[in-house]
Amino acid sequence: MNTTSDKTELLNNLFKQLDKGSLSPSFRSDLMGRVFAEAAKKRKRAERLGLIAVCAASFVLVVLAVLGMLYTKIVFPSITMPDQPVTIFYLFIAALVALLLFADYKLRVLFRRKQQKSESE
Amino acid sequence: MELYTDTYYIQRVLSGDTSCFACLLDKYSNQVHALIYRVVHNREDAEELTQDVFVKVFQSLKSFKGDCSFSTWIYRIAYNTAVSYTRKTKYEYLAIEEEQLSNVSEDEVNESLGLIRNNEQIERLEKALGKIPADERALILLFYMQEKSMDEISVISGLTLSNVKTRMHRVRKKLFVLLKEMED
Repeated sequence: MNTTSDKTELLNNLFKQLDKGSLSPSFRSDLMGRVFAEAAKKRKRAERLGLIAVCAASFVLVVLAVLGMLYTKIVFPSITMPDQPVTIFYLFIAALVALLLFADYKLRVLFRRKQQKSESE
Repeated sequence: MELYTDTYYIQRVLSGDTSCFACLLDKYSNQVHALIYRVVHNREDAEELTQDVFVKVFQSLKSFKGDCSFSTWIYRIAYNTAVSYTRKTKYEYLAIEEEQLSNVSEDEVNESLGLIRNNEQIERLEKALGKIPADERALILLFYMQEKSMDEISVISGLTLSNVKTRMHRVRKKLFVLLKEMED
């Protein structure tokens, strides 16, 4: 098909003049919003996969350790509970750590949300 | 002259700089929208489908291997999205017989089109385009409106080069038949 020939020139010009439609002014921001949401979803999926991998690896290591101990016939260490006041102190420390970890998680989520908002703007 | 290439932006997006996707969007959104709009012939649907195309582009950016240009790759996604959308909506197209196709002469159509006003010519072309199937319409739009070569159209549509040439020839003939009918 020769596009430069006179025969197709008319058709060529007509196609160029066809109404191409126009995108709405909010198209770019709407689409980038969807893209950022998609990117966040991807990141979360990767994080979740990472967490699953770490859990699986830890589980395998524990199983291997137990099997190793059984195979080599190493005696399991006996666990003795400390005195009551010391136990209460340990529990207090554990609760404090859990609280701090939870606060850290919440603050990270808040920070990510703020970052995403500023990126989409 | 372009400041950065498509490959540069793709690398940036893949390395986590999502905002760089806006540069690719600015470069291709109007062309992709124009093609989809002419294929589906509905403003709202065209905009929605253009958004879907770019979300698909973002999702599968990792799979872009660079064996064709980025523009061709985007057009392939846009072509498939628009054509599958029209398949779902089940438009009815005019059946044109073989005999009619072989009887029409391009010179005749050009002559009669040359006699009418430009606005009317465009109107007739739009009507004729609306009567041919969406995949054929997309092929001819890629050639004339988007100025893609036959090789590029072959990659975009997934058809062989000879198949593209044959179909293009038939689509042009169909258009001529429809334009001739409007004149009569």
